[in-house]
Amino acid sequence: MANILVLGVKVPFTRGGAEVLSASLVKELRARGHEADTVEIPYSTWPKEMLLNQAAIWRSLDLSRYGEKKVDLVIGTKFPSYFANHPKKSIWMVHQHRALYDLYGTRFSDISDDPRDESLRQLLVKADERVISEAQYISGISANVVNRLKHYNSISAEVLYPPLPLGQRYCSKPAENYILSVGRLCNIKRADLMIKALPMVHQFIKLKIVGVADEPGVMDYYKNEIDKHHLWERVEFLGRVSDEELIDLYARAMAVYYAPFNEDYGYVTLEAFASSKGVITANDSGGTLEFVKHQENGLIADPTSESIAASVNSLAQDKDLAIKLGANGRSFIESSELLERGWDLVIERLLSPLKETGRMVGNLS
Amino acid sequence: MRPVRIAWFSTLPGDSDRSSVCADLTAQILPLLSNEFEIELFHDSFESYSAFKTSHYLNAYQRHQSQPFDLCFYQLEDSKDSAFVRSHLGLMPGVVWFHDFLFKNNTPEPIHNSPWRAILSKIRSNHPEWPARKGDFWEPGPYALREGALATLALFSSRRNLYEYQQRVSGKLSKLAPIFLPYATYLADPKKSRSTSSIDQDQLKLGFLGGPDLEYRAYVLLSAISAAQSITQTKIELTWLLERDELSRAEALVGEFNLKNVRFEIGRSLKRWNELLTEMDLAFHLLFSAYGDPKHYLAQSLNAGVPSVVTDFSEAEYLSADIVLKVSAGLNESAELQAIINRAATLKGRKELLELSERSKQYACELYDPNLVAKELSWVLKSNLSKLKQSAQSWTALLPSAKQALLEEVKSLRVAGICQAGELRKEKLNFPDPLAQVIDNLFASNLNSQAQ
Repeated sequence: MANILVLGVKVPFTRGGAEVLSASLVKELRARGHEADTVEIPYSTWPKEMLLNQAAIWRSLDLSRYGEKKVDLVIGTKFPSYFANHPKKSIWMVHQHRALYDLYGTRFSDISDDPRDESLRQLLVKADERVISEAQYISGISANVVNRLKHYNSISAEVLYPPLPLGQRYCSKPAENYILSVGRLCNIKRADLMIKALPMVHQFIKLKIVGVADEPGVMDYYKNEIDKHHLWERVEFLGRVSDEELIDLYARAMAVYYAPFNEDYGYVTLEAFASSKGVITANDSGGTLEFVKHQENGLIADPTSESIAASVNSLAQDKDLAIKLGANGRSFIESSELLERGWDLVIERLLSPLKETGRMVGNLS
Repeated sequence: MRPVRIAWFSTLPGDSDRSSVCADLTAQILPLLSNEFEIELFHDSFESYSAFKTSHYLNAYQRHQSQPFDLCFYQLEDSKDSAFVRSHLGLMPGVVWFHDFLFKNNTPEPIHNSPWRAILSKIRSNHPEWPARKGDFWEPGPYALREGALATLALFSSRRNLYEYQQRVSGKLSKLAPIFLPYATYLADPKKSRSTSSIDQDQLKLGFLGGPDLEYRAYVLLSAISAAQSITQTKIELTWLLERDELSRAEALVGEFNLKNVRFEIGRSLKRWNELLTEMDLAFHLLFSAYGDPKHYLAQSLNAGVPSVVTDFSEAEYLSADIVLKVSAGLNESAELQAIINRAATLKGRKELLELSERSKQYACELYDPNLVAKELSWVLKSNLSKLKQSAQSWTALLPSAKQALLEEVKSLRVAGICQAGELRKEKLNFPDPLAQVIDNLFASNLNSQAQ
């Protein structure tokens, strides 16, 4: 069996899909007899010049050996963890620094036309191409991520969907009158669209929000909107919840709202399906659209509160539609490789650089 | 001698489901220019266009590094689809063909944090230091002052916008004077001309392609048509060309005036407008707004010899009353329109319109012929090439020193992580700083390969 390091990026005081993915991967590697662990370095996107420093930190790490253990393989995930240098490197790309790519020129990017910012962009793009191409195996967590690599960096990669973190534990219960929103509370996840839709939605529908804010001012903004529209009784912020609580919240929801801007993958979509719940998403939500089909297992709205409100109302008014969407979502999950079976494929592919040398055992050199 | 290489940044046909003057003009004149220039296209998409080499705009600098361009050419209009043009002309300044100069669209947001004035000031003063990083460069007002200042040569399809540019833009990258470059339209079929024998006195066909919003004056026109119809036997028909998402509001508006002979055509485009013009007796271009103008649609109407009615405001003020019929926005607007419609319903009125038609066609042929527009653009670019290159280089030549300044900035930042503890000292160290070395190896090695 091999000694493997999963390289993760940690924004202190937050936890999102990337952290879940790294932890799940380590757990599954260990379950298959490998020695696996996570290496995480604190990460910040501000000031933007720090991005070069942080990439350089990863580059300067010596990951060849720890104590008596020789590291056989490293697996990079999110920017800038894949800058790490190692003779055997796989990449399971969660995302690059999107402000340089698909978010460039939008309100989610802070890169301006100052020649220093343009230099920063060009340096990082070039460096991305160099360090990603070093890997013996390159994959992305969704077609959206893989297409970005192809279009912006001319790098080919395989789509390797992450299986669901809670495996077979998802379940379904009779729906109650609330929409569930799960995810980090930040601008790009667009929970505000759902909050602002509520005044246009039937009064008996509530909104439950799981997640914590990781951008300054976000909670103040949400609370202003709630005060403005007198939604105190209808919106509930649940913060972080345990796995059991999350499973139960999914199980009892009428539907799940998940409409971020150009999402990389979106565990939430698939967790909703696994819980037999339809998903309300937007036509610019990226990775979620790889799975959500309008009127089949979800509703695809325009990214406006009016359109999202109309989608919610259509489910509130037609319970059979909500049930149908959920049932189709569950069927999709069961026929996919996204429950526990999928980990065999993921691990086989990520460990493929080891097979090239016939090496799968590496404790002592 | 090799042809001049141009990086052409524009919304392209197929990029958007909305009408785009940039896309229409690209389709018209690009094939004519491609005989003289080597043109590569850049837009905010990964699709290719026609037989041209087409790339995403963020890859332009890489294309420039592998095969340098002689100049960048941008087309700019007030739409979200043009947001990438506004962004990119701050990275690689070039010639800008403005089709709008006042922008309702506030996108993209990052340009509001552009330190363009500070950078232009640095270029003018030849100051070695870089300006301090400020948090906020928000530019008030709708004028494209940044874009105007960064244009190495400003071209305008509107005389009114050219005037605004001359009044408002200072501290520019380039000293070249702005130039009026009119739209290119589809050429009228010389075999088809209007004559008295083609007049059908039993019906009068009107055309309109504004939106249902107030500034397009649809409600004024419908009111005039309703009033005109009530006092003439001639059947007045209106063809309204619009976008699908405008249809329900347009239908509601028509319903308010109880008009029966209104036909809606979906899909506003120059091509479709040109097809519909063959059936029209009068075209209405009534936009009354500080933002925008009738654009190439009016030019197309004139070229097709369709008598056109305009609101005497903004760009229309530059048109002679010999070639268009003008109305004044305000209390008498509907009455003036009604008078024009009722006059056009008479035989004498129709004969007058035929004369107007001939004059407007002559005017349009001299101005909007795509071959002439392409020739003029070609002459403008070739005759100013060395100055254009010099202006653009004064900006892009900053990149190597910007890179050096950035790396110095980076190395002086506090680093938290496994390899380094505490603050990096700014003074020269006696032993190699491991992280600084890594930064140099990773990022500084290709210092000389920055785009020029």
